[in-house]
Amino acid sequence: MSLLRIEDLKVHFPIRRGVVFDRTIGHVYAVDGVSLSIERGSTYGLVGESGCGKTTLGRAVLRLVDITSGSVVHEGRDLATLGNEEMRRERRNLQMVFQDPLGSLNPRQNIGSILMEGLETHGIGGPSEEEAASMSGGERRAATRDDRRRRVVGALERVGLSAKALDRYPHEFSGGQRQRIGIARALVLEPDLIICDEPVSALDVSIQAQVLNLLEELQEELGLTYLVIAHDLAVVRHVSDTVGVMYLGALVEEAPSDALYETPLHPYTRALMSAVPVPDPTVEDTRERILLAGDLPSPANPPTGCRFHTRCPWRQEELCDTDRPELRPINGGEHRVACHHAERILSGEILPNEERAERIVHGSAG
Amino acid sequence: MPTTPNAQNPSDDAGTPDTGTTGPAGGGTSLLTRKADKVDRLAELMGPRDNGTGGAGIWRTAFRRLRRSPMAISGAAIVAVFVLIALFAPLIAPYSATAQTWGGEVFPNQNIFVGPRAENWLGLDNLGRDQFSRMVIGARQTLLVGVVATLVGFGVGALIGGTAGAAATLGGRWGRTLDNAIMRVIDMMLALPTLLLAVTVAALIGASLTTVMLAVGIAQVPIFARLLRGAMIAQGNRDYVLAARALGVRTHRIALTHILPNSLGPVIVQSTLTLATAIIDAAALSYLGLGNPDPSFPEWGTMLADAQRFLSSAPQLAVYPALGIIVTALGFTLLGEAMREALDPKLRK
Amino acid sequence: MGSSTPLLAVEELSVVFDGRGSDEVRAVDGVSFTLEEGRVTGLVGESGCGKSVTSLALMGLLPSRGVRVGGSAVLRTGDTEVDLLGLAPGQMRDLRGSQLAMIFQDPLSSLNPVVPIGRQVTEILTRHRGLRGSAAEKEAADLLYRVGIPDPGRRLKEYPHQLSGGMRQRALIAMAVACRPRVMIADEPTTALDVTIQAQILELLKDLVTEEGTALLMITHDLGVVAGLCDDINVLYAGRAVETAPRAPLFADPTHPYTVGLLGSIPRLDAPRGEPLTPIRGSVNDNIAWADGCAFAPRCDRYLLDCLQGPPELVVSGADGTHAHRCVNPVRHADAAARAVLESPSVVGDEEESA
Repeated sequence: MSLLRIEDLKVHFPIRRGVVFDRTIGHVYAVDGVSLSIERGSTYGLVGESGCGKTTLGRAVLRLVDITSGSVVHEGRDLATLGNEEMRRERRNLQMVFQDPLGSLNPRQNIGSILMEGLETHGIGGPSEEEAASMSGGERRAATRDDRRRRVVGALERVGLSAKALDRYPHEFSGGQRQRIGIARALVLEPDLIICDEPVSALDVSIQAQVLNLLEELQEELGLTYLVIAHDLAVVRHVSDTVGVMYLGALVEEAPSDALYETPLHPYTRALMSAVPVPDPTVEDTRERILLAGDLPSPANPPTGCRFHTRCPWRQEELCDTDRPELRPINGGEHRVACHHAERILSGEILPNEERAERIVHGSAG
Repeated sequence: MPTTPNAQNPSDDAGTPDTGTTGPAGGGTSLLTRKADKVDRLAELMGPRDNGTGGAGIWRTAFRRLRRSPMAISGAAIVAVFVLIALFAPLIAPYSATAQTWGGEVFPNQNIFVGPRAENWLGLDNLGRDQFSRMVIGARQTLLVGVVATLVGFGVGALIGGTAGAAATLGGRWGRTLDNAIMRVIDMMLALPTLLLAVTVAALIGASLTTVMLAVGIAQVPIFARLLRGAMIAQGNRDYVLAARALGVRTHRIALTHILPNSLGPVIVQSTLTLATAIIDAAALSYLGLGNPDPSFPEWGTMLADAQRFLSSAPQLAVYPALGIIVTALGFTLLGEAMREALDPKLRK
Repeated sequence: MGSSTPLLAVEELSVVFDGRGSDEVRAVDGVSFTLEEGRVTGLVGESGCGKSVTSLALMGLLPSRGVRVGGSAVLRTGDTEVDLLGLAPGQMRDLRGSQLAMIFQDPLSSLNPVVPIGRQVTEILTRHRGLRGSAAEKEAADLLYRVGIPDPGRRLKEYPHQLSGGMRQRALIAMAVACRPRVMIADEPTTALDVTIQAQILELLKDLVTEEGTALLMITHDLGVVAGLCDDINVLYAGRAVETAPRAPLFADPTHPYTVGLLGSIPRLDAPRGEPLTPIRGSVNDNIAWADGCAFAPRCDRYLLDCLQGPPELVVSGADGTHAHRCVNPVRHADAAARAVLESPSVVGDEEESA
């Protein structure tokens, strides 16, 4: 059974106006019907551009935003229906690493206190029941303190920092170190799932690789499960077993990492992939590039039918602007795509309409 | 080989000549020493930077900036002098502030006043009391009014603002409704002119020093409440609050240990500025006759009001308390502005 | 470098900030490069390498107090040559917009939020080209159309916040090219944008360079962007160029360990999955002063004692003399593959402990 199963999750933010009484005048359809499942010990990568709802999805799993409908099932329990207090306790199993390493650390807390907070909140650490029985209150507190300190130092060392960091403050560290502290904060609770929301996009290039490698090492050592959310397809592909591509609040394609790279089926995935710069001049000069026309439509007023039809170079007269395509399996089952015409696009039966894309740059040299 | 004259270590020079020339034939030991050499050299070059930026919190860096700001220094000097005078007023004042010792020398109805002279540095007031002693004792009253009024405003305002801010950021839908309700009331208070509000309070509970302090304090409540609420909402949207929620920290703990301490900066700065306005407001209320009804107890505002009658014949009687109020208010304002600048993250390098 | 005379020749540019109370900061420490017509020159590096400060120095946009700028930046306009660094502020203002233009990273904060796009474009046309009234308006609409903004007549009346990020960057580019500048400086023009929008903007810049013959200085941290766009590339580290080369040899045969490290740090979309990344140790703060030796040495796996004996010289390698690196122990093509097994001493500050 999968560790986490999301079914038809919807998060709609109301748009309110009004002087005294707020009236709801519309909704932002941030996440609008997403279903996916994450296997234990694997990494699920969620990729998409800004405004596609990937961050909201990550926060909805932790119930940091209100879920409109749908379910998030973790170990047989639907998180969407839990009470606030139950959910609060559940959060020790689901942790999060944030994009902005400095902003996500309280500037007035030292590292020790930042890492200790989760343990104190959930009452983790301390002597076992039998041991505790023979101790006085003071001894028990001391034993708890020592045990928590041991766990915190352990987590710090796992992320490549030393106990010296405990008494220092976030602004004394470099960006990469701060992100390590953020990872240690999640790690110290020994969660089942860590949601990494843009874990490296705020870091320098040379530091990104350190953090990505660290995440992989931790997964190997501790058997962690990740949900990695990022805008960078190359990063997501590098770390993930399964990749889901989001566009305007919905998954448009989901496939094992390699299958997605080899045969991207959805037109949006193809455009996205062709836009990712590759640090190799020969590749850059020869590959085909699909330049999408226009911008992302507003999630408050998404297009009817296929969400991508307003920008899709492969758009057809029938179905595309009337029926919303479901995510359906293709080629056996692992590869799922939400496009009416995926097979015909793959076989080359439908060719992109040159007028609809801003431009399609074909590879210049062989 | 290019070398820098400043940072060369003599022991290092001894080791360097062979590094460029020895090849793989150098053998195991020389390879080892070379490796050790370069590690040492690197550590030496990087060494001093480790303790370059010591562990410093926000307040400590702010204090370091304050010490370099001329505005802060002059403000702090004025405030320090004022506070010292107020604290040790009975020791400094050469004469009694209430005794009409020289009553026989001053005849206001004949326009005879006594100006500064050797025994009375600032002259005598209209009843023949030593003006200097009255100014010094008056400082004490003025400080008391300022501090108590600010504390009232700060305390009540922070409580209301903190409740509203915490409710708005963490209370969900009901919290936002509560915040809305509180803030509408605060908005109404804010719409009333400070002085009018103070006069109303003073008129309701009668004229006394306590009235002045309460009135001025209550007038400051909406300012503090709005400020703290705004700061808390701004902090509440920061990622570290989200991180604390994701960690499962209880809501009241997030409000008290995360949001509140990070929001207090602007409120503390405001309180120094409020001290200045409180002193001026208190003086104004006293001047309007709502202050301490006992005229023998000097207070700068009351002194100013009393001096008004003799403005044409003895303007110096009004000038001293007025100057006192202006300079003190300036001191607190300077200090407050400097603190605001020092704490402003945008201005911090 | 190239055969033709350069449009803009920057020689030994240095920018020193007087630290208030603390030590001075050498943000740029002797950077030299040239810009040629119709070519794109790239400055690549991580935060703090001095790439943005270089652009601000060339545009004369650094604060006048507390900053010392050294070296020269000679711009050829017709037959006259002017040193940008020695110009009076008034002369510099005339050059900016007409000969020099700049595109910034954040299009929203570089546009005035309370003035419609149209007015902001026509203002430039009026100031530098003397166009007025409907002529200026028509030219402005033309410009917006050229940079790919659909329905320019309507867009001219809109305010910056009504445009999407990509459109704003296009508007900013339209303003930059309004006076057909000879030299354009783009400081991370696509960093704030999504990849699909980034691809559009890069394509637009490429067209402008080939069609107008503008010389473009591209400043970025993204080696992928550089590979697609730049002709000549300077890799900067801690205020100095550590490697300079045309793009093909730079990516095929990088010689400076820092360049090699950067390339090894980037997950590539087309690399087989599971191939581990080889990051550079430490962080950009872990460096030593160039005067003492190679600033990269503390993070370098290949450093020798020689690296710590004063600043390394720029060494020209490659047959045609276009490839240069500032390294005592450069990576040869053959040992690039063996890099991973080279001695990797756990020196100074295990991991990043020394920040």
